[in-house]
Amino acid sequence: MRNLILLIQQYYSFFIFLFLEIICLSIVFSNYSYQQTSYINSARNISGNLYTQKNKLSTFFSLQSVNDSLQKENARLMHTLGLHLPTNPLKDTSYTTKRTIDSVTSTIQYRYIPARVLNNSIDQKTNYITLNVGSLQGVKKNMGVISGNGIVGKVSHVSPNYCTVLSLLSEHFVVSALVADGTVGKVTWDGLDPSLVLLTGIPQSVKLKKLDSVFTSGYSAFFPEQILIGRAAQVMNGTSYKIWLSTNFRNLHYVYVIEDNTNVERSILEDSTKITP
Amino acid sequence: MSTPIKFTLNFIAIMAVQIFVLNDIVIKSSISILGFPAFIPFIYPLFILLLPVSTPNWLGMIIGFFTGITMDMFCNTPGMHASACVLLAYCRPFLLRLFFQQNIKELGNTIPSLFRMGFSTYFIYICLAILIHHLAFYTVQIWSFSQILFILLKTLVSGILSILLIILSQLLFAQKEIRRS
Repeated sequence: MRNLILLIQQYYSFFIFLFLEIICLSIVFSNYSYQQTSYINSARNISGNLYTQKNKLSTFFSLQSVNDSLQKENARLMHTLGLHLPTNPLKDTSYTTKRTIDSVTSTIQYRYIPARVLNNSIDQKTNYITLNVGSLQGVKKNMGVISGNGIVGKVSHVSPNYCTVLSLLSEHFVVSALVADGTVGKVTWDGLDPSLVLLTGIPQSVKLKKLDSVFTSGYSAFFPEQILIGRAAQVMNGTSYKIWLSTNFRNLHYVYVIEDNTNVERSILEDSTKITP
Repeated sequence: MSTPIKFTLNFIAIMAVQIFVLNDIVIKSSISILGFPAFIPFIYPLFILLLPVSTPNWLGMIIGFFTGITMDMFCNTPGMHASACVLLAYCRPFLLRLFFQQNIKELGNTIPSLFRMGFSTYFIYICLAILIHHLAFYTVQIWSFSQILFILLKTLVSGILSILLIILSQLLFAQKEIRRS
């Protein structure tokens, strides 16, 4: 016993090192799969508040580019209004609301919650974005997030006034994608270039040309159908392609959190078909 | 000014620069160097390296732990910065013993700065410390043996920029010492 105490006295700094390192690594590995709740994230009150202050300052300097992007988005919205909208298969259910523009009534399935990006990273294996909306504004876990140009990610942690979004630029993030002829593939990120993603699972018979656009498919529970992901940049081998992302993650200011009103019904149905072990 | 207050201010200043300026560099600049993955320089290990020589090892490690946890909170990286910082704080006395020829006890409260140690000694000291920190951080972050070259590449490109920034910041802010001595 005395020898043990002597040993601890002699190497006490090494034992403290081991102790602290075990705490750190247990935090790392308990949060390694991103679905789990992280206790350390920027949706906390202190860090969220600081990021709000910083954002107030930095938005002032980027007013020009923000104005440009808003103007472009307005133009896009006006363009879509003038065109024929795809008819919504959902008629009148308790989940939809009615909208009337120029005496044309259509049903709306999605609600968009506008949000500002407070913090963003692109250099890690799993990247997160902090937004200035939270559960008080109606944000819930696993909602999809899009920007004016394309998809961004899905909500992973929510606090009353802030939320963190798991960015598309993350190792385990898989999005179901649709190419022009209706083939469905998978889009993932390989962790290297923040402007390129990988499209896999396209059969060899389907040939994509350069600059062919890739959209989200309706299989995903987070994103609406027909939202642009990007354009084909390069053929890797027969079945996988590199895709230029249409969202510029380096310059992300305003995004929309998508609340899918029909998602409740859909998830209840999908969960009921799952075989529980 | 008493030492704890001075170091708290030091801590706030270094963390503010790291979180609000350096973490944004990679995002706001649209230049992507061909082939290189996105990376950010880390200047915040400087806070652990600037602790007085006489700081006991256990205190250094606890300070390192809290520095890392603060960084983790703002970067959404659970525990990764903390583990790298604790390792760096553990290695710090060994590095100091390597580079200070005098007895550590005689030095007392001196801060290991550029002008106290001389340029070449300080440069190697910073290089080794940053190498340990970055290698630990990127190993924990990427965590796969098949990508060991990727870990080394990221350590190298990020480390070079970090060392450059730390030396520059020392040249800017450590000048008082040279006038006094």
